[in-house]
Amino acid sequence: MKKSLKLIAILAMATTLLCACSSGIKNSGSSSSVETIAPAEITWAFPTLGPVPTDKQLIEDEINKITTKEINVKVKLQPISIGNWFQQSNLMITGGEKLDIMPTLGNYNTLVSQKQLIDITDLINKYGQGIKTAVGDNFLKGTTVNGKIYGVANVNGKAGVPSILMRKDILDKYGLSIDSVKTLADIEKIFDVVSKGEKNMAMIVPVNQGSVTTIYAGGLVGEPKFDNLGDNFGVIFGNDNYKVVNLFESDQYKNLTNTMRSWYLKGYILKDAATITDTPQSLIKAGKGFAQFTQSEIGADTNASRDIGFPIVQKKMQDPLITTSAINNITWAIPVTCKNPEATMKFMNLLYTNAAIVNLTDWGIEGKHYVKGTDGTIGYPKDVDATTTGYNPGIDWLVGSQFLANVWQGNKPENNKILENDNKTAPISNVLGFAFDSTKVKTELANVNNVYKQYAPGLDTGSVDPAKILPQFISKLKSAGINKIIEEKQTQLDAWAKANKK
Amino acid sequence: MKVNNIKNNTLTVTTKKRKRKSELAMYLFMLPGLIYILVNNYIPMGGLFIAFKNVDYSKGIFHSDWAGLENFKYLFSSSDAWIITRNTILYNLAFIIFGTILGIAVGIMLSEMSSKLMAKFYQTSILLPQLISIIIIAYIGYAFLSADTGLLNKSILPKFGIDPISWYSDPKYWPIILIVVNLWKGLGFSCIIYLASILGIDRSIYESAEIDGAGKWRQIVSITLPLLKPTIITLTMLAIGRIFYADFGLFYQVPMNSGALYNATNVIDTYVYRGLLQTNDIGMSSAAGFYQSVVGFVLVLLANFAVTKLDKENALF
Repeated sequence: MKKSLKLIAILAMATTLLCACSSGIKNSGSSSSVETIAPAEITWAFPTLGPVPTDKQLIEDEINKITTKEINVKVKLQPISIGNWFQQSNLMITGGEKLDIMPTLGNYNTLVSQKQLIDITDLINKYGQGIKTAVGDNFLKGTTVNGKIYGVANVNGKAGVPSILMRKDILDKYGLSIDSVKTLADIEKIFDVVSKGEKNMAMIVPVNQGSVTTIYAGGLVGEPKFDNLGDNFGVIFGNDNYKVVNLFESDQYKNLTNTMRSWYLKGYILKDAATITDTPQSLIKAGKGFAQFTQSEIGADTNASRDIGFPIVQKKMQDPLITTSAINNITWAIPVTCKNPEATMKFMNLLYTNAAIVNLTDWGIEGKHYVKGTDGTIGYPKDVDATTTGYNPGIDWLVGSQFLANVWQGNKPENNKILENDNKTAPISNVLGFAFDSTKVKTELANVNNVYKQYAPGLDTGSVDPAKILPQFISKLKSAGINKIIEEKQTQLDAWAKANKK
Repeated sequence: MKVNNIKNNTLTVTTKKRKRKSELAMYLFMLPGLIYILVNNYIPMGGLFIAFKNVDYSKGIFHSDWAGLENFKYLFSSSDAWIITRNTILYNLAFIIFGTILGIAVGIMLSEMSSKLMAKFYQTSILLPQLISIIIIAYIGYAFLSADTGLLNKSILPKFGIDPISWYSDPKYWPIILIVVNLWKGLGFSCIIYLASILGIDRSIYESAEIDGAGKWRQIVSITLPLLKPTIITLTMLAIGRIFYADFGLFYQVPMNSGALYNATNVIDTYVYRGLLQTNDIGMSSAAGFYQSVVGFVLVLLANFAVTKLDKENALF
């Protein structure tokens, strides 16, 4: 009896010791500068690709010069490295920290259904006229849930499609061209040639962990295209009906997995594709890969060339279809922690109308972080590059209206015009504006997500045999309740179609 | 609540002081640990009610609607419910059994080492993995197991004429890999506790045993092990209390989150994480935590009851 108590005491002491090690660095609290006259103070969180830029404070000061003058608001920048974004932004909201404006990255529906965002319909009408013009009615519809708007889509190229990126220097070496590529079979022909010469290089590397293709973003399965209705669990094929079906039971999905399997067996797909967590850029940069898929508008090639250091060319594999997920993939929203929604909306409006703020946030200070070239595009000043610059958050696609921002060198100077035109001319999904509310099937969704994560990476990277695994995948999905999700989606969609007089 | 408890503690300390001055320091040492456990483990228990709520951020957590047992359903409705429960319990049982045996064995070996310097050296190197982040351990594993560049596939297997194995897509190897990694990582800590208990045993017992002609083996079986029994029982009981919790890092990071391995690597904690990563439902994740602690509590009571039946002296309570 005695002995065991003593032992517990020892363990308790040991706990303290271990804790002492683990309580590492914590963010020191925000030092708020107190101002006697009262510009409203708001906190603006956004992700950065790579580490938080060192010159953040300079940018913040410059932005505040504009905002205090224009709308009497002071903005505190809270850049968060993209790897921590979801965890940290979520903690800020659940913990009730000061946070007034933030982007949603693919989780708009979730945040809305958990009521983490406030309804900004009236605020937009009052203070957000600039947003209305910049975004347009069609795209505002894409973020409308039951008649209310909780976030506004950022303005950039929305007509993204599955594309293939390849190293141009290698294509040239074998006298090949990317222009002829239309289908997966065309890609395979190129791989057939290149793989003979480049023995130590995988022909294609995964775009995310466990995804070689971009099916997660709605593509590559050939015609007809599909609207993934938010999450791929229940999709609509074609743009002329309202029938929700199971993507994974479709012939298109089957064919895609068969192709991936044959590529894997031929050694075209990186062997570790199902588990490797390296970015495709770093793999290609290291000479381990030749090509990758990506879901993108034009310009993916120049971005990739900049990141990778080899010349990269891009070919779109599909015609566009603008869906709800394309629109609500990235939005700007006001979380429930916001104390001053009016001031925040005024600032949000500037993100869509004030080119100076957008350029400051995207590229930094002119002359210090970038200079303008003769054709109107911008680049690093002399003696500065990607590694030495003090401000390079890599978020020109994110902040408000990208069409207000300068275009980086290597892109066509008229880049923004092309994107804007594509947005206007691309066909729009019939069900744009339908947002699935998953609260009723959350049990099934949790289980289906688990099954998906178990099987999809293996199939999508070709590392398992679809003849054996695909039927297993489908039957596990069914027992996890995918049919109930599809039914619920169908019911909600029918109601939505009726309400919108489709 | 916190203040009250500190008062209580000081009160006990003062009464003890009269009886035994020497124990005062011990209790003072305990205090930070107890306060930590109170703040970190007891106060958050108030949050258990979230498991029964439909969390709605606009209303706040306290005013959200009640959800009944709705949040618990997904843990039992899936076809994987059996696999994750089985994996969690079997792995933890294996960890307890092998961890205890190995911990005692190494503890005894260290205590028998005549060179103090060497003993210190081994002790430190055995403890080292305990201090390494699980992410780094995952990549140490990856250096061994990678399909293309791993040490096993590239250097070791070819020497024996075995074809490369794709470790991250074949679940059958993983029960062994996970147990080995866990033992390697956890051994340092458990052997220190056993070593400390062994060093606390009165040396004169061993001396008299030696005079009576008992060999090393005899001494271990008849002296060391019986005297270690209370330690073994306490540690095992505490481990049983956590049998429904899996070491998330071990089961998520070390297999590199590879889908093909889920049958061998999916445990309650990883299942909850993967299922709720998208939906981000804190009600459902609290439900999982609630379920795990209730089962853990019941198991501790049962184990203690079993010990009471066998050996009343060594039961926890």
